[in-house]
Amino acid sequence: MAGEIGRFAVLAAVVTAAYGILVTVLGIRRRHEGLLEAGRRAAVAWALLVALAAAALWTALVQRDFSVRFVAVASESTQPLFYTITAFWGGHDGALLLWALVLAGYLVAGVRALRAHPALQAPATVVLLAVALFFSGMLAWASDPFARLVPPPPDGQGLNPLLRNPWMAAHPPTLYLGFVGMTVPFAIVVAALVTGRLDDTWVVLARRWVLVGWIFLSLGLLFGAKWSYVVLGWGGYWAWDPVENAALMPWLVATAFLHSIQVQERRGLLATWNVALVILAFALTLFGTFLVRSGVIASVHAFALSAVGPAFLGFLAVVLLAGFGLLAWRWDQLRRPATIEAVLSRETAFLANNLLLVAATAVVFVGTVFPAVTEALEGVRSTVGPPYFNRVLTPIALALLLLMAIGPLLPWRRASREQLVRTFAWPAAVAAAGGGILAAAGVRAPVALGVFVLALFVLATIGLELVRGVRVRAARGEPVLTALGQLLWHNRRRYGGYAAHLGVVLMLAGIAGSSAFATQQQATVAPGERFQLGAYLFEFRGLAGAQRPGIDVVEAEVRVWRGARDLGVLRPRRLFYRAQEQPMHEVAIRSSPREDLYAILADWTPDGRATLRVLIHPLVSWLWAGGAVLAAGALLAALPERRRQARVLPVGEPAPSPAVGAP
Amino acid sequence: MSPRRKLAVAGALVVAALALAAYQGVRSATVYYLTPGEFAGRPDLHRARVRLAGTVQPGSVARSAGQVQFTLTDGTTAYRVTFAGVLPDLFAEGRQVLVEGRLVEGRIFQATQVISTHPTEYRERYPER
Repeated sequence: MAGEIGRFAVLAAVVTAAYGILVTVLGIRRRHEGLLEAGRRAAVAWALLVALAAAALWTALVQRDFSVRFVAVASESTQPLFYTITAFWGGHDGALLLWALVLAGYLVAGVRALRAHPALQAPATVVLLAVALFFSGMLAWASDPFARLVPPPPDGQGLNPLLRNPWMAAHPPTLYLGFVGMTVPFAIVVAALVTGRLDDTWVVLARRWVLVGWIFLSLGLLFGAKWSYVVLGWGGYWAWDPVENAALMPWLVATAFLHSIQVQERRGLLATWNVALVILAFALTLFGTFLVRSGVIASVHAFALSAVGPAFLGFLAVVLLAGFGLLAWRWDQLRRPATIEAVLSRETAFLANNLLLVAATAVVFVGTVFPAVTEALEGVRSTVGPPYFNRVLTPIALALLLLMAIGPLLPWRRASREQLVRTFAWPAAVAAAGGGILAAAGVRAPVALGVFVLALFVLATIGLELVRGVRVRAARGEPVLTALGQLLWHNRRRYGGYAAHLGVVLMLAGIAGSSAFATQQQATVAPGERFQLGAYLFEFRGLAGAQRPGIDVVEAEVRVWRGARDLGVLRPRRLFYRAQEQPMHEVAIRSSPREDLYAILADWTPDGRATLRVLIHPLVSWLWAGGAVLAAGALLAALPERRRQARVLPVGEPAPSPAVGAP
Repeated sequence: MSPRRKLAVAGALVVAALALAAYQGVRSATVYYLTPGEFAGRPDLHRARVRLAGTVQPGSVARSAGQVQFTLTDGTTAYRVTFAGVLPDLFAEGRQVLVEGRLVEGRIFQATQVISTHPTEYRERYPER
């Protein structure tokens, strides 16, 4: 029953989206408010129908209605309720429905948010409904989550064990909230281009939507990395897999936009560039989905091939042609008389940051699609390994880190030599001293050392900024803590941005530490035997068997000492899922701010000997902590700010320079 | 020079440097990805680091202390693979795997990595009717 309701809802959604586009276009042409209202109602109706379809799929999953093929594939009788619910996005068709569900939320929110801008609202609604039409059309014809299985099997296959993990439950929804979030700014930008309303209104509107999408995209990437780290049992969190790259590329472009948009807000520059970035970010989310779903690129994820691929490619072509076509058409109108006045200025720093972020996107893009190109040209499949990405992206990351320290403190328009010395003398000294101490302590890896020194530089500049701000307020008689709180709250955007930078610094330090200084050891041991890795001593105590519903468990008991200190027991496990006849690792991780101890039960022999693999990953927890700081900072920056909300300075008016010499 | 022109020159230099780095990076980090049969027909790649995609021949898996050996086949050509790391979860006889490494002698392929393609869906068990 639920299956029929879902199928009906999807088909009705297709019709509703088409109807909504039709009436809104007519409404725009005839300037008829009633028709426009009908279009807005159609958008809400589309969202409700998609929600109904989602509810139907969840009902079928919870009822374990194995006559629905998707339910039979993604769930089975002994599966816990939590993973039966998250099985929704544990397969291809459901994941597409999740995409539509997220789009439903953004569609309603986006149309509502644009009420204050009627001229943009109607065309933006058409764009959003066009995307909605595409996705509901895919659900109706290319990727039907309600397809039947006749006769129904007695039991399902169950969700892939690799996906039965809380991080995997959270990863797709957050990632999609990020991906789909780029649809609203795209709709706003297209609406601005179509109507020719190219004043800076769209900038302010688009910025917050990109920021919201960006926060979710960051979290989605991070959850995926965490999942990979705790579940896949290879000891890493990032493999430069095409599927990972697919999500990284829009993130990089959105990051560039969030920086360059400030140049447009403050100096009226880069309007064309910003429009291009929004179109590109949206196109890359579609390209990413195409990569993941088409099977064009060999990936460890190897999703099922389906008709979805060509359809996505076609839609992507339409988006690129329409977006950049409109941009070319409005090119002259987007040009501003303002110009960059000096090489040493904040706008230059933003420009450099954008150049680097877009170059990084291009680097990832080339590495990702290169294998497909060589296969087409030479007929030989190939992959471009992590060395390529690491080699090319490392200098870019270091340069971005340097800009992160300098950029925010440079004044707009023009910086003088004295200002530079006054602003950066202390942070540079701190970074140099820190670098000296680290080198003396034996940190030799050049890239890691570079990251740490630059990280210190960024931290010192942010710290100095805070101290200066608090001092000014404290001089007026405010207690220090109040002054700090007031300072942060009244400059949410600025300090939110700093916090995001702090998060990135922590993450880069974690990445540098864990990739430069990781060590590992593999040992085959009998019960009672010991082995050593770094400062740690491991004693294998033996194997034990256990049962969980539907799963057989083999567990190794490993006692760990660091010097004389007893750190307790690690229990790496192997799980055997009976329904899938599939084994899985459950790694044991002991995490501390200094380093992670990571143990895997690789294999064992009938006589009770086990092959254990242990890894030490320094600073990995900084990566996760940095991600949390990044998201919190971005959230702070996304909160509405009453004061000076994105004021665009008229050309010629001298810009206040808040950076140097405090407020 | 105007600031605009200076920036354009600097930007062009950065882009050129990155393009060069990317080109060299791609050249050096490309790993060919073949079936055992294709690999046998490409002696020029026999000393290179490659990925082989094939099926783990049933009954061929032999384990010893910390090491596993198995035969990787595409139905026509087979290579004996030795591997000393952690096998992926989806590794099993009869399953598709990718091995990355190089040929050490004759038909022995020393793998530094065994990767199983991970089927998010098991369409083969419930084919559409």
